This record gives sequence, C-alpha cells and structure tokens, in this order.
Amino acid sequence: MSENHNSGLENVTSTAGFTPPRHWIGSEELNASYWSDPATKEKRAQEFYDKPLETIELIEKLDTKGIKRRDFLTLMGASMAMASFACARRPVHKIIPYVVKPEEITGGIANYYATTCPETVYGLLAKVREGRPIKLEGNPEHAMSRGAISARTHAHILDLYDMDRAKEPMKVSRGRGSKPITWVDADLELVAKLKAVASGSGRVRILSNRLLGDSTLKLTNEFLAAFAAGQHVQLDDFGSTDLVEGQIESYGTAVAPHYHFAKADVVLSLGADFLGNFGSSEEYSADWVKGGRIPDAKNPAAARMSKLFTVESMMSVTGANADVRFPVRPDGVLKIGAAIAAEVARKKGVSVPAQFSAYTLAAVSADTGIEAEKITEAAHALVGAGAGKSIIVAGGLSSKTEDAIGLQVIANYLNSTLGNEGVTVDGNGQAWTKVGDRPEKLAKLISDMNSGSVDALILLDANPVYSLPPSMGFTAAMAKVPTVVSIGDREDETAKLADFVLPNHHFLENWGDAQPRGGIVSLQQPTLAPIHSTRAYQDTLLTWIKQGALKAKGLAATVANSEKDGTWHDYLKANWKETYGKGAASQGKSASFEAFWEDSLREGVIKVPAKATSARSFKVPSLAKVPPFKAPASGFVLALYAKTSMADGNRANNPWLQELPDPVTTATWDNYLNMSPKAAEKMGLRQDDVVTITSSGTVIDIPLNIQPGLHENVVAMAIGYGREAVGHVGDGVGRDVKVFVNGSTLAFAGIPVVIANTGRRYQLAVTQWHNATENRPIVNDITLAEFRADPKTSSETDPEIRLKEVPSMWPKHEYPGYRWGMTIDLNACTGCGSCIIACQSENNTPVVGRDNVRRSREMHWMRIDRYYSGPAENPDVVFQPMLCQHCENAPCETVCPVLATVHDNEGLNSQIYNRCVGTRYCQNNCPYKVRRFNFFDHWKSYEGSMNLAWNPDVTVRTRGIMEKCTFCVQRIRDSKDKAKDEGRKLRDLELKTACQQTCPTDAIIFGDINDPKTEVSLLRNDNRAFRVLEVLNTVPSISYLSKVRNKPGEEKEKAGKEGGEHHG
Amino acid sequence: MGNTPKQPELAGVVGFFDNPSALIEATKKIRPLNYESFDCFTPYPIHGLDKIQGLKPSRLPWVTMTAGLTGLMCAVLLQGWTSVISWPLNVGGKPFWSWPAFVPIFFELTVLFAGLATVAGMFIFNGLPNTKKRAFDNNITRDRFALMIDAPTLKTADELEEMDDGEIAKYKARLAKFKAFDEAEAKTILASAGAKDVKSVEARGWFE
Repeated sequence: MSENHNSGLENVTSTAGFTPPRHWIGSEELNASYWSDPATKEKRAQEFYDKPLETIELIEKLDTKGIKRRDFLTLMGASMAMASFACARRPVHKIIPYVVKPEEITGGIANYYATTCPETVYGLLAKVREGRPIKLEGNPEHAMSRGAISARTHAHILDLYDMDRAKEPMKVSRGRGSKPITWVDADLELVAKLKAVASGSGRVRILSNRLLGDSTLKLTNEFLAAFAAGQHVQLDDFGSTDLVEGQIESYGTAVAPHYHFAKADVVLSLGADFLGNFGSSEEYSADWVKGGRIPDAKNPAAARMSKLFTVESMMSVTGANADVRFPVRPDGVLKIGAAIAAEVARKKGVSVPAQFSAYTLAAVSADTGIEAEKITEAAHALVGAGAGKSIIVAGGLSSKTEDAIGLQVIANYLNSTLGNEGVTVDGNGQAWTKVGDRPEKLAKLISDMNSGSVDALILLDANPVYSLPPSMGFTAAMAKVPTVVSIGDREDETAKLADFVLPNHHFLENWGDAQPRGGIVSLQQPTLAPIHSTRAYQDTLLTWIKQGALKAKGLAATVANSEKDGTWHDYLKANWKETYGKGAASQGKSASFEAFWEDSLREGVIKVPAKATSARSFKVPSLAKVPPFKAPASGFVLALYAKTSMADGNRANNPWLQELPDPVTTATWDNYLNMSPKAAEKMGLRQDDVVTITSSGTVIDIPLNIQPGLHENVVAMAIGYGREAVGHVGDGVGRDVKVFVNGSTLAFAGIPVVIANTGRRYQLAVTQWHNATENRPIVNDITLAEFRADPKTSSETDPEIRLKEVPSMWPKHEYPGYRWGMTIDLNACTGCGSCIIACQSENNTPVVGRDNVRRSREMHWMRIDRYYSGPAENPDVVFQPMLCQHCENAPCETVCPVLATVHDNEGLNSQIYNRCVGTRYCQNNCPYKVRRFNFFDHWKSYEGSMNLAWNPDVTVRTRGIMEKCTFCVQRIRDSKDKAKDEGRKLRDLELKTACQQTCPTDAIIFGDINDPKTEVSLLRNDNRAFRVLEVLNTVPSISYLSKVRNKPGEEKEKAGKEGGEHHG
Repeated sequence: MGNTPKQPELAGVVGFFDNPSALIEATKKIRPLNYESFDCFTPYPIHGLDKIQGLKPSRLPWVTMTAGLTGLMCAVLLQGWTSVISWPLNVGGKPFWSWPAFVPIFFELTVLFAGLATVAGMFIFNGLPNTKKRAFDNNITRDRFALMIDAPTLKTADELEEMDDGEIAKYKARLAKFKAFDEAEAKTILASAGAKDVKSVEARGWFE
C-alpha cells in the first residue's frame, strides 16, 4: 500500500520515482514536469487562486473592454473628491401592510401549490411567499419526481421573472423591427386573416415543441378542425427521435419506452446519458441508485451491486458514473453494440443474425481500440444477470450518427433477446406515448412552406430558426409563409422574423395538465397572476374561435361560444370532468366533481392505474437497419452533445443555468471543443487555445477544453449556445454549433472535421482548478472486491483519510438538544448538479458572470468537485459535493478578528453578515475552500422583476462580506417552529435542507446526530463513512461514504492474486 | 526673616561644586550636622548620592504593583465574565475560557493601571503641583552640582500667638531636634565643605 502513497507536493517534485497522484484534476498532473515546475508549487500553495497583481495585469491587458488601472485610479480619485460633496439620501422603501389581507396569505408563512412543469412534466410544489413563487420543489406525490427535480427545472423560477420576456403583444415586420400592439388590435388583424384562411384552403400549421398535456393537445386539434387542412407538428428533442424511430422499426409502436432501472442488475448504455439528460433522468437516477448501487455495509462479504457499462464518445454524467466505460468514436457505439449483441446471441445459444456477422470481436476491437475481452465481459455480464435483469438503453445526440436507428434496433434486439422487453423495458404499460413527430413530418412542413402551400404558421413556444440545424432551411421557408404568429415567451430568433409575437403565460401563470406516459396524470395551476400583459396560448385559441366564429369542433366550440366567454380554465375543467370525473367517483374519491377537482389541485396528481406491461415481439426484419461494417473516417470526427444545464439552449437567458458548472468539464458560461489530452499534445494545443473547426465549408472558431476520457479521434461540442435573440444574459454566449449538422441525415455525431490552431487564446471559466489543494487525500473510492474484503478500506493512497481520533488539547463542547450533521453518499451522487441550483434558489446566492468565475469568485455555496483517477485515456470519475463542513473545530472561526463566524449551540458554523468586515482570513484558513466572498454587490444584477425571485427568509448579501452554506438555517428554524407549535421534537427526515430535498438519489441525508437512531447517525457510523481532511482535527459535521465501483478489471487482478474469483 | 511682604523670603543657602565627587564629599560632611533639610541638585543622577544624603527608598513601587495587580484582575474578570458567563461564544470548538487568547488584554490592562497609578502616586508623593514658594536659582537645575541647605519655615510671632501651648511645645521640640539654621554659618560650612560658589537663594512663587 505504502509504495503508492503520495501525500503532498514534496514527494513528487523529483522526477525519478515519480508517482502521479491517485486522484487528479487535469491530465497535466500526470506528468512529473508539471510538479517540478516552480510555478505549480507557487500556484497551488498560494492563499487565493487569483492574486491581485495578476488581476491588475489581466485588466491592463484587456484593451477592448473595461477600464485600465491608471484610468481607474484617476476616476477613483475624482469620485472620492466628489463623493464628499454629494450627500445623497438613502432611497426610502416603504413597507405597506395589506389593507384587505387575502385569506390564504399569512405574512412570513409560505404557501405551497402543486403544479407541473410542462417541459419536463415533473410534478412541482411551488413555494409562494406573499403572492409570489420563490422556489420550486418536486412534488413527493408525483411518481416521476418523488420530490426531486433537475437543475433546469429549478431554474424555471428565474425564467418567470426574466427581464427579457415579451411583456406585451407586438407586431413584427419580418426582421425589420417590431412595435407594441394591443391584444384587441392583434386579435382583430389575426382573426380576419384566420377567417380568410378558414374559408379558403385552410392550410394552417401549428408548430410546437412536444406537448405532453391531453387538454392542450385536444384544444389544439379542435381548433385546427376549423381549417380544412390544419395540421399540428410537434418538434421532438433530437436526442430521442431515433429512440421512437427504433421502437417503430422493431416493435411497431411510436413510443419511448419507460425503463425500470431499479430492477436491472446490469445496465448497458449505448450513448444514452440516462443519468444526465436522457428521458426522465432524475427518476432514472433514483431508480438506478436505489435499485442496487448501495452495497450493504452490514454484510459486506455478500454485498452486491448493479453494474453499468457505458459506450460513448463524449464523457457524459452517465459515463462518469459507469463502472466500465468504453470511449469510442460516435460510430464505435454501434460497432460495440453490435459486437456485444452477437456475443450475447452466441452465449444465449440463439442464431447470430447475419447483420452482425461483420461485427466480429476482432474487427470491432481493432476498429475501436477496445480490448476484445472487455467486450465479451460486457456480453457475459448481460447474459449472466439472467432474463429480465438488465437494460440496454441507446440514444442521445453524441451517438446520433447517420445509422442511429440501427443502433436503436441493436438495443431493441438485445433487450428482447435478454428477456428485458416487458420486464425492465416497458414499451406499452408506462411508456411515453406523447413523443413528438417524426423528422419526416417536419421535413414535409418545411417543404410545404417552401412551396407556398402553408397559409398561416402558428409557433407555440418553438424557436425553429435557432433550434433546427440551419441546413434544414427553415428560415428561408418561413419567409414564404404569408402569416407567421409566434406565441412564446420572448422575441427570439424566430419571433423576430414573424408577423406577430403574442406573449404566452409562463407555466407558473397558467393552467394545464400533463399525461406524459402511462399511469401519470398531473395538474398545472397558476401560482401568481400574470406579471406582464400576456395571454395563455389556449385562451388565444379560444378567443379566435369565438371572435372569428371559426368552426372548431367539440369542447373547444362549446367552451368558446358559451355565454360567459369560456376560458382555458373552463375548458380544462370541462375536459377533466369528461375524462376523469366518472373514474374518480368509482375510485372512491369524492362523489362530486368539484370536490375531486379541489383534491386534484391540492395534490397536483391523480392516481390512475398504469396498464400492465407485456413483452412486445421483436420484428426481426428491423435488423436490416443495422448498417454494414464501415471503416471509420480518418482524422477527427465531431460529436455534438447537449449539456445537462443548457440542453438545446431554449433557456439560455437563465443566468443560473449559464453559471452552473458542467458536471464533467466544470466549465461555465461558454461552449468549447473537447479534445483528448493525447490528441491535444500531438497537435501542440493547450487548454484555452482558440481553434478553428472546418467541415465541408463551414468554419467556426471556439476555445479548446482538454477532456480526458475521449477517444483520440473524437472532438465534442455542446449545442445550445450562440443565441442571438434570447436576452441580455444569453446573447452571444458561446457558439452555435448546429451549423455542422446535415439537414437531411440529421447526424449530430460522426461529422468529419479538420482542426487548426488560430494562435489566439480565450480563457474558459472552468471551476475545478479553483480549489486545487496540495494534494492531500480528500476523496475515497474503492472497488467492490475491496469493499467485500473490508468495507473500511481506504484506497491505497489515502492512509490518513480515516484517522478517527486526533488528540486534542481541549475538552469538546457539549451540544445539548439538536446537533445537525449531514452525510453524503459518494456512491449515490451522480454529479447532476441539481443541488447546486436548489441551494442557489433557496439561499439567494448571486450569479457573478464569466469574468468573475475566471477569477474563482463564483458564489455557489455548494459545488461538486470532480476528480479523475486512472489513465487519462479512460479515467474513472468521482464526484464529491463540497459545502461548508460545519467543522466542530472550525479553523475559520479561530482567525476571525471580529467574531463574525462562530458556532451556535446546535453545531452550526454560523456567519454573521452584519458583523463581517471582509478580512477574508476565514476563507484563507478554510481547508475545504467553501467560503465565498462578495467582491461586488452581485445582487444588483437581479434587475426589476428578477428581484421577486429572492427568498425573503434569507439575507441578500452586500459587497465586502463573506458567506457560505448555513445548512439552510432558515429551514431549520421553520421546521423547529412547526414542531414547537405541535409540542413535539422534530421527527427524523422531517427537516430537509434544500440540497437534500432535491437530490433524486437521496445522496444527501441531514439530521440530528445527537439522536443515535436517526438516518444520519446510522450513516455516520456506516463502515464506508469517512470525513475529509480529518488529520487536521477540524472534525467536520459532514461525513462522506466512500464510492464503491463494481469494476471487473481490478477484481480480476485481485482474483488473480487471491486465487480466482469472478463476478459477472 | 521679617514679615514685610516686599522683602524676599530666604529659601536657603546653596553651594556649587565643580564635580560630583566634591558634592559627595560635601554631602558626607553636611549630613552629620543635622540640618532639618538639605538637598543635592545634579544635572544627572549620581549613583549612591541618595544613600549618602540618607534618603529612604521610594514607596512608589508599591503603588505600581498594587495597581498592576488590580489591572490584571480587572482583565481576568472582564474577559471571564463576557466570554464565559454573560455571552459565551463557541469559537472553533475552543473552550470558552481560552486564556492564551486573553493574554494581550491581561498585559495591556496591567500596564495601563500600573502606569497611570505610578504617575498619580508620583504627583501625590511629591506634593505636586507645588504652588508654594520655593527656592529658585537658574543654575541649580541646569548644569551645576549644587547642595542647598534649606532655611526652615519659622512661625511668625502672630502665628505663635494663635497657637495653644501644646502646639507650641511640639513646634519647639521639632526645632530642637535639628541644628538651628543661620545663613552666615551655613555659608561658611558650605564654603569649608569645598563649594566654589556659595550664595543665598530666595524663595519665589510660580509666577513671580
């Protein structure tokens, strides 16, 4: 063990006998020269990441923006002089009480309303204070969210208050500006046009994103029925169109299957980032982790874990969590899949389909560079798991080559052959039935528009000018449509080229419902009155039906033409009465529909039984979609991918999402070209070099990010950047990379490109290096074999990580009553980043902008550190959420000259904002680097309506003071008050911190560590538990549970030594 | 010693010496004569002169020590009360009574109390500020080694009349204890003790 030991800088400075650190941040740390460089030593040992001198140099070098230091000093001198003359009064803000208090509002007490996010269809609870929603949480009753939501869903609250939302209807003159118009005038003009169309050829098209609510869909169709040739086209997310396509090929049903990850012992992901942004990833994460990722520490010898194999081109969250990861070219995903399929067939004793015959182990291995035995190992693991005990999931942008449907067919073949179909893969019971339209329908729409056979185009929350690859020619086609109406939240790229912009309600201002897949029905209700002069899309349709006397069908006609001007709310209610009214009564729910409706609104969901699933039969002819074995393109191939934060870029104006570090690259604010360290070295490229990428005439330049774990020939870029008309936050951030997508094949991956250095540099705002330590062991990961032998194992590099008792000079303090503590299970943490945004929303954490992130001034109270281990070609990843450890012997407290940070009697390390004078000594002395300093009045960036998003329970911090995680002290207070009112102690897990509340995998557990029976106390004494940097005797209140990997490779090595044991 | 107000009052007789050893020798000679009061004036301290003059050690150090200890106690009580009893703060898990952190205040308050008390004591013991008339000669406090035999303050006839018998007896007993002062005699004694320059010094008030 000790020969690998490497505890600090001093051990690695000599090149001879150099041992790279076990956990590393970037591939340069694997070279002895990095450590012997004096600059490294200085950088890593210095107090703060950025030195004032460096900052000044940086400012002086920036010619184009900002002001120079000398100018700054001159101005400062002048302003100091002037400040002594100008004595402005502080602005007076009046607090005015309610004259007539609304019945449901009690000042200072939050109301929670159940609603639904139509984008992700997760059930939500919106926390509403004094009439304004301030935070979103998952609805625990909702089968998909179970209380957890993603970072993106959290961030919707900021979109509601976005300053750049369209505030009133506008008449746009096709790219030549716009002017406000009243709703009455807009309706007059549009109704006249629609009436003319309805009496004419009636070729109206509604283009929307995937609609997941029955009522909206029904209303849309009923509206379109008034037109002879009305049609509704729904855009699907490009990452999952092939999934549905493949299902149609193999099973004949246009669904996206639901996967029961909890039941799977072995998961093979062929490019699908199911823990990141594929399908309902929070639900999948929860199922996958709870279904078998937590080895039983009470009986370690017999501990079992599920196993995840990932084949992918860009390192995704799923890849980072994989036990075995195959980094390949985009086309290699299919090749490995086919090789595994052939091997599985062989092993199962069924005849190997002819289509797989070319994909021999030797050929695939030679082509992809993955050893043949690793491929067979995956196949053996799948077969060994038994029938219906595995899942093969394929899809995602980074594997969407021209042959993406072939890949889907291979996955379907495997699922059917292994008996997963109908067991772990649910294609008819709980499958996603609302899947958007096939790309052909979209192509047909574009060609119709081009040929002038579309009279009116209504866009609903869709921005095809940006979101479709430009090569599909949508922009040119749209110019040929006589009337284009954009119903959406802002004047975006598409709306600028339309005739009208009719601002839609934000979903938190609107009614709705969602039935995305079997067994899930939820309601969406408004949580505040519309902020701006907006109108719901549905109300717009109803108004047009009424005013234009359009011959809509069914309920739409009834509601619209009812005497009291039926609204969308009336429609929704009527539709629910029709659909669920009777069923509810028979379920033993309240007999009257009104009572049922009230119940449903309160709970947000209604329970409807899902159909039982059954195995669909695999259509063997679909295997024809598997392409013949193709030799790979030489040189670099490009894989596009979607980030968990930015996705397709529709919400690029959300600063929380822009500043959320990518889980794997930890970069914020920009997109970039990912390249493997080896390829970069060969090309002489460094991090932050700006390169040009050329593919069939298209050239863009973009900064370079060196990303370990990529195939040498793969470069990858994220879509969702380069917006031009989204708002002042998102405009001009990054580059739009969909220009490389071929409009007819829609291949997002496998595009041959040429890379060249421009010689320019652009500093990416990457956060992981900000907190680089002097290489003290801080994280622990072991293999399952090691765990079985001794769950207390520290990995061999970290002998000090489990130092339990450090002698102390003083007696410890007593904490009578509650004492708060937390455990974080590194095995459960997938690194998704949901907790970061939940914390930001709960605790009013500001956004600092790209330049400040570059100077390590990001303000997130919770960060997720990402460490690599193993070779740079294919490293293992461990994510470590890092927040204030609330150390019992807190080093920060000792050095504060003004006692602005002290312990309270419940073990919290509290920060007293109005006592803090901003010396930053505490930040310097914190071994975990979790303290955040307000260099500026960051809150000022929340302008106008964005101020409504603040949580009134948490102080908004001003310039010059330090802040950090408080363990959500306001939530503690709130829960304690509630318990006190009821005259009892707090129950375990009743009180949740914001990060814990939203963690889909329950990796974070918080509670009273004085009570030995609480969940957190039990976990603190778990065999895997360790505390970070325990050798410093800080005695953190947070315990981490070691990550355990189910890695066959190392098991085999050990087995070889120990006498042969094989786990499959 | 008339009681005419205009006539300057005699403060004493002073002899000036060239060097410290001459002064010391003279002091040795004059001390046994048992004058009620005499004093030496030097431009710088001369080691051993106080002993030869027969001066007792100062009581000031006792004042300094007492005040210093009081200061220390105040520091202990102040910090102990605020940090342990009144408003205990758990700072970095350290005990409430973390005395090493209090040492600077211990020191500061000790020094502050001791210093102030010493200054005050010095004033009090020396009877400062002295508004009465006293000897004044430019050379005494400048650059000369001087020895002055003070003229005792004798009661005037009017004063004696007002005193009762007991007081008069006491007054006389005090005078009898010492050698009687005579200006001419004192001058002779000083000259014979080696003084280079002998003269009478008048008493003057502060603003005369």
